Amino acid sequence: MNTVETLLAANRESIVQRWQHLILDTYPPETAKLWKKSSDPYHNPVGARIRETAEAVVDYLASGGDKAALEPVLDRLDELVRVRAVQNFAPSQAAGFLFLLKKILREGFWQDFSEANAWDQLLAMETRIDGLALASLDLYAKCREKLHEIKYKDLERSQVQLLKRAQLIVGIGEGESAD
Amino acid sequence: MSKMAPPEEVMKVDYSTPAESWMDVKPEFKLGNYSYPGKPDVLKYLGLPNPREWNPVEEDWKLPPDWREIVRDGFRELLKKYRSLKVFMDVCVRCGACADKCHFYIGSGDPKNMPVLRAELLRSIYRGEFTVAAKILGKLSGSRKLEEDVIKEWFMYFYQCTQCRRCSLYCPYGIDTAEITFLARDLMNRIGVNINWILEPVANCNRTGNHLGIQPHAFKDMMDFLVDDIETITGRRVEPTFHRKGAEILFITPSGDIFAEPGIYTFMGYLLLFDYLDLDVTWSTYASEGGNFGSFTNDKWMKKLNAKMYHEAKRLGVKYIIGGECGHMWRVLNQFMDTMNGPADFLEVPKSPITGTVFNNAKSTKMIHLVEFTADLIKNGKLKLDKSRNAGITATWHDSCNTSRGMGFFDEPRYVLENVVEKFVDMPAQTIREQTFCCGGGAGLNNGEFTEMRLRGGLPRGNALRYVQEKFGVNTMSCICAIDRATLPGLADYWAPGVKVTGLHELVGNALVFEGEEERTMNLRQEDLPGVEGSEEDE
Ligand code: SF4
Ligand code: SF4
Repeated sequence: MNTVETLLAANRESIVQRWQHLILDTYPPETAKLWKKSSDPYHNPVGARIRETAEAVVDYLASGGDKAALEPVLDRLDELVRVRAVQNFAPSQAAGFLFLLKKILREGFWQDFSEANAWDQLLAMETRIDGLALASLDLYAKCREKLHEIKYKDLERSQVQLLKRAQLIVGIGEGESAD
Repeated sequence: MSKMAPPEEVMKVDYSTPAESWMDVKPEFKLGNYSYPGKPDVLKYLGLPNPREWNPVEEDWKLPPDWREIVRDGFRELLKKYRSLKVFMDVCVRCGACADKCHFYIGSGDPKNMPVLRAELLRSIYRGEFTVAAKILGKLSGSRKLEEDVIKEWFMYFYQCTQCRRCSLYCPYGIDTAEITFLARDLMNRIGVNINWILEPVANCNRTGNHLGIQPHAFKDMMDFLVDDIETITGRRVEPTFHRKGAEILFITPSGDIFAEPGIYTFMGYLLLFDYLDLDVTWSTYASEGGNFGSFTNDKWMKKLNAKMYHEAKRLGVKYIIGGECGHMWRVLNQFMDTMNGPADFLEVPKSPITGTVFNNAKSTKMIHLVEFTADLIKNGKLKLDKSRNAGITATWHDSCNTSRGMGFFDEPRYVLENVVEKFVDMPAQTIREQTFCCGGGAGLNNGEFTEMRLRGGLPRGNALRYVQEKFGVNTMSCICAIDRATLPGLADYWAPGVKVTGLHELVGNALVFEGEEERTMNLRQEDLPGVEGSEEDE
């Protein structure tokens, strides 16, 4: 572990909480207040997913981040982006919550980076965060594609017998061959 | 601290939301968060006021010039007519117990989707227009005056409420926000502010007998397709009848079951069950709709569409009615039918011809739900069922708001389900039975343009489903509501991809073993059964 990773690991709890709160602040103030307090995963699934994702990302970044550890982190990111993708956010807002982690690192540990002269490490860390942010944008795009797929599938399902009735669709008969 | 720009600035994103009071935040209409308005022709047909072309995203909603008087007078009339409304307006102490209980709030985080604020949209006007406090305290009393923006807010948020009644479960005073929504929609209808997905089905149902306007001959044709499919699958030719006078039972189901997937498989399940029992049952094209979108409009239309079913039962001279797998049909039946159109004295108290069970719970309405009828058959050992024909399914149960919270069907459907599948697991306790989470599509919100908002509102249900999918390998969610069957496939696809949605009687139809039957090689979806030659598992 290098200096930056060690800082992340040592301050895991406070970083996760601060990040969770900053993400929750992207919601209306009444909601941010309520969701910061509630830990009921069924009445506050957004808060719960934010927390789980924040934990997974911080742990991943602190661990030096080998390739194998990336998959589960992307899965967690997906659970959160999936929510934000249908919550009336602009794409940058929906997927950009990763950048808030940079803010936390810079604001909270500037002094430490300076003392250890760990700027190259910080840059490397921020680059990794940027990578995750781009991955989130990919996930966002997939969710939006899914939304549109659901729309046309819904339409198809709701018309299936009517199309048959109107003889607009005819299936292939049993045993029928193209020749 | 560095001179580097903070990340929010780099992204040009303003993360903070202005801390305005909710009253000052105006609703923003965007494709995906509202439903299209009622079409002028439909309004004219229904005799509803102010038919016109209008668009919620535009500034001018073309309200009638005297809209304020109409709303005020209407409000006064409703307050007089429904004591409950007055009580609901007066007694809320804003304790907040309901605040985080609404699926639309949980999924969106929009404070105006908190049930307490949703009701406050109406309550603030009640205070502002009808109470003395407002005259003295003004805005401090939480009151405001009726302005066009208020109507816009009503339209946004009373059409973002599925009338699921979950919130009322947690309110110490039993305030029922769903009823407040009913009445707010009634008020909006008086000035022509409504949605087409509700009104067109009402008009169609009144005219052709069902929501989509399927004419009798087309209805019959579609039934024939399903009869053919049943023959392909089981080798049996079932012979349903229409409008047969003197039949013992009239069967009515939501029309979605005859034209939409996956409802059609449930429909085949009904046909197979009736054939198995040799039940003296008839269908009607006139009463070919169990759903009642009138109940999402106003009491007049709810009453009329409900009466149509009873009218047909009378005309045919049946003894009683069995209803198919529908949700809000049961809400209307249990909460309103008796005082609107009841008691149905010309019918008999339903008595199962197979088991002799008398359904005294339906003493007045003379109408029972198929799930109680089937549960009774199984309990009395009248059905031979082979669970292995649903092999591979790990099922969970979605309690539809109307049948569960609305009428208390918690155990009957689970009992039936456990008898037809090998593996069944419930979702977490806070998300089922009375506390069930809505599919997001009730009360007329299952339309195409609302999909994004519906997925948002579907998060709590989807989240619980995802949990049992990951933990117990659940791959099927079953339900007894046609709106669920239309809405949940998309919800599952988004929040718990891989879980499929079935009606209950689809699974019953699969499991039903007929005497001397041909061996079945496929299920009602015409998918190969596991272990059968040619099935994927053998390859
Ligand atoms: S009735 Fe259902 S949708 Fe409406 S406010 Fe209550 S919980 Fe929300
Ligand atoms: S729970 Fe009842 S009393 Fe409390 S805020 Fe909600 S509606 Fe008002």
